[in-house]
Amino acid sequence: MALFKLEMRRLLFSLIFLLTVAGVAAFAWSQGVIPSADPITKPEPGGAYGSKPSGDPALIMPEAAVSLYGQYAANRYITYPNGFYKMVRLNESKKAQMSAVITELAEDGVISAGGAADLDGKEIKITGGDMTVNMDGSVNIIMPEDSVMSVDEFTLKEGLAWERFLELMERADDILGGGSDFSGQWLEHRFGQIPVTYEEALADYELAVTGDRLTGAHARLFSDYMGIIMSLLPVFPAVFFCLADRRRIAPVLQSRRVSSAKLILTRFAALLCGVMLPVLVMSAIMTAVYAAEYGAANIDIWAYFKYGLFWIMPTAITGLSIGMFFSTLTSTPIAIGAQLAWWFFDMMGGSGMYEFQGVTALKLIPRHNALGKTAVYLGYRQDLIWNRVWITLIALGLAAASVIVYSLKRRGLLNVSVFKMFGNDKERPEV
Amino acid sequence: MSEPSIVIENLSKSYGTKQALCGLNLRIQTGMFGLLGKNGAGKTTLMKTIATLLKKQTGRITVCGVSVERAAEIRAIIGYLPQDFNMYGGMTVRQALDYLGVLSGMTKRERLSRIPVMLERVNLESQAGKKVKALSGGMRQRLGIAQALLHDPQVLIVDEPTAGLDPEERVRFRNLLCEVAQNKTVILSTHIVGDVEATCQEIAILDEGRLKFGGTVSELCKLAEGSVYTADCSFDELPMIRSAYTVTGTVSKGGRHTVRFLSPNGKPATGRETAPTAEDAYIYCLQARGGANNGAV
Repeated sequence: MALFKLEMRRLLFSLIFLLTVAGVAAFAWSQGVIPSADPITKPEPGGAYGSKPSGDPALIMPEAAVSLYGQYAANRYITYPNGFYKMVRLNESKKAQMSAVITELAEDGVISAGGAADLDGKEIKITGGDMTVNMDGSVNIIMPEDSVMSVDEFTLKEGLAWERFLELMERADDILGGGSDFSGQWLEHRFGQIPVTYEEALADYELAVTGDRLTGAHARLFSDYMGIIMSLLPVFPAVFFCLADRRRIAPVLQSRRVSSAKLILTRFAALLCGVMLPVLVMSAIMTAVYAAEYGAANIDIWAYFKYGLFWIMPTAITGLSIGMFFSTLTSTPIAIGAQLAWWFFDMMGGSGMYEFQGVTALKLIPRHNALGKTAVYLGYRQDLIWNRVWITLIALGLAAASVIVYSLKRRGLLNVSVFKMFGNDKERPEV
Repeated sequence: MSEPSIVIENLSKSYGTKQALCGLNLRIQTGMFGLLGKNGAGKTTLMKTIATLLKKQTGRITVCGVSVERAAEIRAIIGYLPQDFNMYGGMTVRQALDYLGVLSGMTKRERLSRIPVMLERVNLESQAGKKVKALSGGMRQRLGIAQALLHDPQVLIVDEPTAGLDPEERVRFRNLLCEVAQNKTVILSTHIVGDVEATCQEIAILDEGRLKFGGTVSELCKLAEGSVYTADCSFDELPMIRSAYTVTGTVSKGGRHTVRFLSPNGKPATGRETAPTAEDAYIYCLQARGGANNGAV
């Protein structure tokens, strides 16, 4: 316990800890998590309650097909590979491939813009494009790249099977290089949305009141936002804490009686308490705010703390353990890069705003970007529990590996240095 | 003679192709023991191996009868002051000692009683509240010796502790080590011969991982007897003497120079024989062909 207190003191008075706390607080403030989100109110009849995915092929298919055709006609496709906006323009070869997809989607395999039959005997004026007359009298018309064709007349082929439609959408997404609205991940979310009914909104409200006791719903939204920042920032104090020991201090510590397990795990515990401190303080503040808003008897006063420990803490532990492991192993800040990479791909390859998509093993940041939606949460809660358990086990495994690595390095049995190759090996033994 | 505190038998260690220690044998008694050698001679490797911070490849080391393989037990009975000692700059002197005391398994009561004693002993009482990063080099070394002695170890290992200290600090530091060595074993590693000469009963000289000499300072000086000469010469004659002999010292006065040099192969053409100093003998020992002495000290 004495060592824990000393490590806590060392952490709490360090600049990196103060910067971490400031980062967490600033993020929470910027996202409207504190001082408070809007309260949950009972829906009134006749209002608008938002929309939800229908999952109905009859709604999804025409919407998606028309959207694809519109983008095809303009040869401008909006995609988000790895979460970043990208406007795709296809070359002739890819255009031909996309044309085949569109042709299969269209009624009678005909792509028409404005109705070709209606143009008989009329003058066609094309500007900005190019026309060449072939030997047989036919013409090739090359449309200007920025022309936008009408999609009003596009008709989805009648009787197209859902399974085949999905295959065509995947094909279109492949041609575009992935990350489009037509990928399996997004198709059902982007198209075929239907309005939430009053009855559904009321049921969701009642579930938030009875099941979540209001603060549970708020705590979930809080956890959604805090997960984003708590998956990233804890690696920094962990790395700086470990690297503070570099060559000149390490021998003084390593020659002492304390066991490697006690030293590393005590530091791990101190770091965990330190990085969770702002989350717990904000949880206490928000509980007090909502106790005043709804009445203390109507809320679950432990909800924020339960979600903090169950939802946010495993994420924070992961950042810490990655920080400790890679810093102990390499004596470099390489862990920051590793954590950033995981964070980036987890965020950008994310599973949507609130539907937990069952990426159970390595999902670092579960999202629930909605106030309420308790039924949705209950639907994926079991998956979430497994994810949190699994993530925690990975983190604890890395912590245990840190102990082993520290123990080996302490006895001079392991010397991993990424600087070796650059001739700047600060851990190189002195003879 | 009492049982040796540290026994080293046939110790070898290498880093890749570099042989840092090669079949080393040493027996170190209670008191001050000096370890001399050039940079890269293997002193730090030997110190770290005794302090359980490096794994030996072959051979055997026991400290107070405990094999170095039993690292936890060894760490409880040794104090280690590494080369370039440092601690977390944001800690005060007292906090640094408290932290290291905890790592040494000391109880709160032990720390409360030992820390003021150690601060007094190294003359840092008035600096107890000062941050480590604000300490001068000498103060930092004194903190280093305080932390190494904090848990009252039986063996103290100090690696090049006087490097970078001014002469006054160096003398104070040496005196402190001599006090400590009254009832403990102190291994002092250095390449400053004067430090060893002033403090150590027994010494060993390492060169390229091998033991070149083991014995007392007077025994070392005896080795060089008949091989140390001085000569007065002009400035123009200096290069000739330097090319023919190993010059261990030059004193200039007016236009004349008094040169001190080694002539291991008999009487030189010029100069008169003189009694060797420890430094002469040390250089003689390192340069003497076939001078290796791998026998136990």
